[in-house]
Amino acid sequence: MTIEDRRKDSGFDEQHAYKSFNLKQQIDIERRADNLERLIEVQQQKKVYYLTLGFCIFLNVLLLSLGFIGLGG
Amino acid sequence: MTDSVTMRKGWIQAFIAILIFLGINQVMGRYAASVLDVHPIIYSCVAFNSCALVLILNGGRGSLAKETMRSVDTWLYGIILMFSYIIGMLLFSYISATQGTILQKVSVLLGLLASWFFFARKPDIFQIIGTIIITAGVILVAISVESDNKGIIYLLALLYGVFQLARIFTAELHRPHAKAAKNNNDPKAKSRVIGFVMFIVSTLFLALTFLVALAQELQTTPIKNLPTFDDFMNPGTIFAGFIAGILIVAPSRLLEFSSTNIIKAENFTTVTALSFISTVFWEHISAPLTGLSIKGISNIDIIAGALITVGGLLIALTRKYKKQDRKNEFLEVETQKIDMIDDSRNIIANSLEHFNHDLKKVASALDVPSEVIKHIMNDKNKTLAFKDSKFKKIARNYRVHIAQADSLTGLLNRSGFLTELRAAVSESDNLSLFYLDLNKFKPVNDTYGHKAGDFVLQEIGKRLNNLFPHKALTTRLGGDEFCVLLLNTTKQQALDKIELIKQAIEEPILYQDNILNIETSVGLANYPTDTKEPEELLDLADSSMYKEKDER
Repeated sequence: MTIEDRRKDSGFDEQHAYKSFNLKQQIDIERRADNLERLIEVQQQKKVYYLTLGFCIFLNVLLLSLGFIGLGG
Repeated sequence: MTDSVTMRKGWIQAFIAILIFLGINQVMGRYAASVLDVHPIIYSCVAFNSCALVLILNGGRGSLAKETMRSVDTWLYGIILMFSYIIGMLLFSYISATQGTILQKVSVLLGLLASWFFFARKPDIFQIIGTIIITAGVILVAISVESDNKGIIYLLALLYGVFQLARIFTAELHRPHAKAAKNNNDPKAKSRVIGFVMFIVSTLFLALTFLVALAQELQTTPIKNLPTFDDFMNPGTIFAGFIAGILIVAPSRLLEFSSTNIIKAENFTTVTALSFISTVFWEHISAPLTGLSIKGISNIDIIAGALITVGGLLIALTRKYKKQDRKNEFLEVETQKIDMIDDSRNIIANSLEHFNHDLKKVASALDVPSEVIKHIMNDKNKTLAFKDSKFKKIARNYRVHIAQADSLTGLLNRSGFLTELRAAVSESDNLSLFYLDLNKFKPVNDTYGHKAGDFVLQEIGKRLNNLFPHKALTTRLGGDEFCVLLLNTTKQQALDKIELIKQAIEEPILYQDNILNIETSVGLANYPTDTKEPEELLDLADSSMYKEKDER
């Protein structure tokens, strides 16, 4: 087992962190420096994801609404 | 997955992307334009938007979102796609769609030249012959074009080819996608990355279209064929684009990125030469539903299309079945760096020794193709060395999997264990070290032979490794002595584990219909309870083990 492998096994599950809804709470209580960095990284990635997804949904809904308006008119 | 399987997957993806999705996409586009009377630019905007949405939703939350949005590759891909689309629109306003499709195949010739000059990927004889055949088809159509604006048409066709090629190269070289492709732990990362790329593409398109529509609105007489705000409210455009984006554009983009990443851009461009036959096929098949006709295609177009298809198939099939010699990827001929040659040869020689000359095991441990290892072994002149770009990774693989590994059990050896122990001290507050010495092992060796002894050691290595899979370092120090280092474990917690270890070892071992019973003495030492010096841990655990052995 290498140092990198051990880091992976430090109890930090990245895939699980992406699914977590109380990330901020986890960041507050995290003691290990490397885990903290990775939790903040996950938080930033999630923020970008939701912002992009939100804007993408908005554009799709807007375009579809225009289509429906055209259908009615 | 082996290299050949991956390559085959890349080629299959390219064929599916071109023969199925690109063909259907062309027919859908033609149907939408001629039957549904959609505006092509807005149709594409909507298609790219719905494609982005479905890919982002499919990708889910995960890594590389930030990197993709900030990557210059993503924005470059978006801008290139937008320009190639605009140039394509201009080209198709001068000539028929069939002629335009054939003329843009100049990209195959450009692709071959670009990959040769910029990426040093030297073409083979079949690639050159195939490209000449394709170029002949392009020239045939170029000569037959009847227009007063031939110069403009040639320029637009050339530019279209350049942009199409640039798009495919950008897809191949897209860094976040390449990272996603390597991340086996996150299979949906590729969909997420391409979703973000398509989001950028669609947003750029929409912004541009909106600005054009706004400019049209301010004009007293709007320019024909350019989009207006009324076009945004054409239900046919919106709904057809929305469906095409989800069902056709999304899988098409996933396949394009994935395939170019594996088989390289110039090979993917070659497969696009089959788009002519693919489009004709799908138009013919769907004619009863769409009412589209292929009768407008001239004889010259058919001959040129056939030439392009033959040329494309010749290159694609010979490349697909070509045996991959990866010598040039890993090795270079060196005459100056004698150290590099020696190091490369030593790594291979020691690795072969370690794995008892099992080439497959060496290839797997070093992550180097077997043929490359053979090249070094057969290099009588001693001129071959690993390339600088590969050496670091190979040396690391050698250190972790061979130099620091026990060849019999695959566990860490003494030297590897000591290195890892020192690193563990700086990372963990509490370490517990178990020192194990097997009892009743010698009789097994004496009675059943060394093979039985090796089998027992391998079996015990496996059991110890499986006992604490996520928080332990396991090693065979030599002979029948093993060590297990538990991370973040106090002495009290470790004392409770001793019985667990003994039970795992004492479980009977079945060897060729014989039941072998092995026992063990276990010593324990803890950092920092017993010592603050990591080097002393091993000695303390060893003494503790002998104490227990004496008490037996």
